[in-house]
Amino acid sequence: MKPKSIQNILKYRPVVLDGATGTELYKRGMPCGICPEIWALDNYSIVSSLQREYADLGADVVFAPTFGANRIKLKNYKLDKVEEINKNCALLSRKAVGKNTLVGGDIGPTGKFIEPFGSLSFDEAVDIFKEQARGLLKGGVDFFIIETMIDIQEARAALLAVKELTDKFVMVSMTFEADGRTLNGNCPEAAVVTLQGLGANAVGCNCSVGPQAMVSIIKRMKPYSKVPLLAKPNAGMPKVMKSKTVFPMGAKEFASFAAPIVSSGAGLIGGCCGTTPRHISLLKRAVSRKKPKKVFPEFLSVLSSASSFLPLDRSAALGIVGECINPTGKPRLRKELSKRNFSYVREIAVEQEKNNACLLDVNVASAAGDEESLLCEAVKSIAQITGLPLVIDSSNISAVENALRVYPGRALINSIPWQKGKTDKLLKIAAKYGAMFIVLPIDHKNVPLTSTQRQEVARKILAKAKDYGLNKEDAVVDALVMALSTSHDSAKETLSMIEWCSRKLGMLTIIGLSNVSFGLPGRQWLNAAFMAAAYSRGLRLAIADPSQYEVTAIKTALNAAYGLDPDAKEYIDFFRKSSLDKGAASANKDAKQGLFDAILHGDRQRVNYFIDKAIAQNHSPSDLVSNTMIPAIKRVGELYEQRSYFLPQLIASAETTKRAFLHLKPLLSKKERDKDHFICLMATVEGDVHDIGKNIVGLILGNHGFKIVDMGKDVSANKIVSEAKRLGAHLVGLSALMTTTMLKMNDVVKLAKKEGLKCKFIVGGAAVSSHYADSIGAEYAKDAIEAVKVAKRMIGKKG
Amino acid sequence: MNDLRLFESIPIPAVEERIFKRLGYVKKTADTADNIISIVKKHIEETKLFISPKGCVKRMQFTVSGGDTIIIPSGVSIKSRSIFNFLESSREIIFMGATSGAEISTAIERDCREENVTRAAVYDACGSEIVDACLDWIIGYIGKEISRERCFLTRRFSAGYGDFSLSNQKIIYDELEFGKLGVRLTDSFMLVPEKSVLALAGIYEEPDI
Repeated sequence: MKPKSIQNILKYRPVVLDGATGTELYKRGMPCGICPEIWALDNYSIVSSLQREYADLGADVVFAPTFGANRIKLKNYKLDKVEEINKNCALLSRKAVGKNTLVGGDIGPTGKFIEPFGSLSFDEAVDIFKEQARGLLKGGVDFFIIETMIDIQEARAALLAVKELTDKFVMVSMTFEADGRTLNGNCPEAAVVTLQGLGANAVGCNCSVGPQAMVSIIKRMKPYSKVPLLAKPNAGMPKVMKSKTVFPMGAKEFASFAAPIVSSGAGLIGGCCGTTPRHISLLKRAVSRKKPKKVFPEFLSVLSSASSFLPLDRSAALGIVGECINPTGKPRLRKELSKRNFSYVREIAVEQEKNNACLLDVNVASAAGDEESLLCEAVKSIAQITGLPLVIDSSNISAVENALRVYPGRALINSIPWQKGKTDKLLKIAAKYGAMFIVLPIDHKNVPLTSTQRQEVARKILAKAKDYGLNKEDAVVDALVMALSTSHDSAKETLSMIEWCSRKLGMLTIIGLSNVSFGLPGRQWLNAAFMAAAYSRGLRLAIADPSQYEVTAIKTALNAAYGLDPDAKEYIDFFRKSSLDKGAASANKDAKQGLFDAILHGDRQRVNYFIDKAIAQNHSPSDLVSNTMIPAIKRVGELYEQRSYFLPQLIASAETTKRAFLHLKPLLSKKERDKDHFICLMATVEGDVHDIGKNIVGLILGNHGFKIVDMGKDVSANKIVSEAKRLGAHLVGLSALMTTTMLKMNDVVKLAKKEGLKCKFIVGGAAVSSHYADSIGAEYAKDAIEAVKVAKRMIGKKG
Repeated sequence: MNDLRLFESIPIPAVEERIFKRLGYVKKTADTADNIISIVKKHIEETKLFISPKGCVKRMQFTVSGGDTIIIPSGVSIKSRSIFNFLESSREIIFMGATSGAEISTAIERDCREENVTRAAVYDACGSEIVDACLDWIIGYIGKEISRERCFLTRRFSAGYGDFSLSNQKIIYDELEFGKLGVRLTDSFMLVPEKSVLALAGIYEEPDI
């Protein structure tokens, strides 16, 4: 009889995993604040009784009670015998269920985050998990379960740790929130792509959500999974009952979701927090006659980052691989990289993402310094800032390996040539880390000039790749673009190679686009034209600068023309009329109307143009102020109060008005300049540093004829009163955010009274209220618009 | 178990909608041209480059005294009837803190000085919402951990409300060693950089219903 194994069971029916251990042990008397693993060993009979119950009621597997038995968590309890604890817990489970039920070595999170998202180094994390895994192997576990992972990088470290020790079956399960992502932002699709690439034998989800939500998570994973999927939901979502939160889903209701979960694609199913042996029993009954869906991925060539994924499909739209992270010819980038300063690299990454690059090529070769560690550091830094999958671009084998080891996704290696000593090593690395790779049809540094010669080299590399378990779906072929200036036939050969790869081999292709125009004028046009020609032959990826308008415009137009841009949405968004067009249209407007609209819409760029135009049309400056600008400002205030305008619009209009006043000022008579000029002193009180609100109020009051003198923040009562006296301020505006600092407002008012100042006080800030303002003899304003009304009322100003 | 955990890089949460709401955007009544929306979105994107959300959390047992005081393992006591009542059914307490980092505050000050107050206001809203979302993240993180113990978290509570005076910020600040994340506490118990926040919550067990 064949020994029981997960793979054997899956041929006939879904594998039934066990239910909750933690919540059940707490119910059975485990106290809080102690090490659960040690308690399990000391209370063997309770744990063993639970596990036997699961096995007797239908579970094919139980997980050894080793969820937190890693070095970091055990240290909290001053324990350090990691291997021994894991071994003994595994033996406990084996003794409890015998040989007919499989025992899984359970590996949970450490609670620490791994670089680039935390301070724990990747290799340190791998060591920590290896230590645990060694103990579990000594305890005779049948398989491994890495579960409740919220961070893809930690899941990767645990998976690599196990794979580097043993060939045993290993499942990896992430925990997704109700929004469909882990707490660290990982999505199900990226998780399955990354983890199966790294060698997980099954991937899935557990905890956080109930069975209903897990149906949709499994459905999302299914099209991308080449391995069986697992689901271990909680007993429903926590609910508030009698003012407390509980897991309410009973066994019957829980089991009613078993069939939909299996139908959505899960081949392994169990229960997590809140589930009991009865839940598992009914679950088993619900699935025992169901056949698991075949593992049949729809998408085979998929790249991923920590937070997103990109299927590379021959029928997909053309994508631009951002080429700008390359210090060649970029002195500033070279300098920053040589100093290990990655902030500029991150800016470039974000800029390329904004310009719709689908992948980012990362090349640091020409920067000074050790490429093997520099590429690794660059990849870690970029992975933090962008969700785009990365292309690891290096001819240094160690640099590629180091980068792939720490990259929290499935990357694309650029590239693998046919070269003794290199091809095998790189293919081995690609296989180990689950990376896709670019086939570079260069034979021992000789560049084949014809398509036929390139095809031969490509075939050799692909045949060799099979030795490492890699198929054509794991690869993209570089069709090799040479400069047209060196050979007028070179472009034709490249196009022929693209066509062969696409039509005969059924493979994806990529080109380094800008090579074609090297040394020629009008480069952007040649690049765009060549890209269009290549696309018609089957090209799907072009390494280029995504900010280059002509290339991106042609790419967008091609995708629309080939029906790959639904409703031509991307095309319309790209070619939407620019603000320049809007400006050109408004240039024909009546000048006063234009000035009014510029203030209304916060158009700082054009406001002075309309003022100059109006002056040229013999409108008087004071007329412009009284009959155009002030009504515009008032209208903005009304729209803000009606909540038609929100804060950025109010401020943009105010800044536009300020610019307009400054522009008009020299043209106004002195009398007009000084009219209604009430002095308002503004300050954030002593001990407080919050001042954005004060700045906004000052800006708006300035629009309404107040002369604003801003003393800044953390200003003592003495300084405020002294300055108010010196200036003869009519009004003093005070701001404070905190309950502690707002008390200083009273100090200012009292001191001013003592000094005999007649100025009035207006106060505001998050902690301040009208009640408090009354108590100190000031007036309160909740926002800038109210501040204008209150201020005008206080000084008897009309309008 | 008393353990302090530092999170040196909390994933920047998606809070665009909350930022717009904080800036007063009301979808139903909004009269907004596309360009102001895209300008605000552009500024929100820009903050990705210099907001570095960090946080920390510490889980502790505690004792009570006198009907209005809780005492944490270091011997420090918090006197507040509202906190005492708040933690009535809790078996443990967590202190948590988060910061958006100093660069966002520097950027806001610079923009106010250089008269780009529109951008400063957007950055300000981003800093506030992100730090708030970081606390939500920490709550989610601990919530996940304790759910295996059949426990749940209360809502969070910050100093400066009710009789839980602002001076208690110092107790939480010291326990969390918040200075390690580059935040200092002023004499008036204000956190600098300003886009930083401290809070506490209780851990209670699932009741037998």
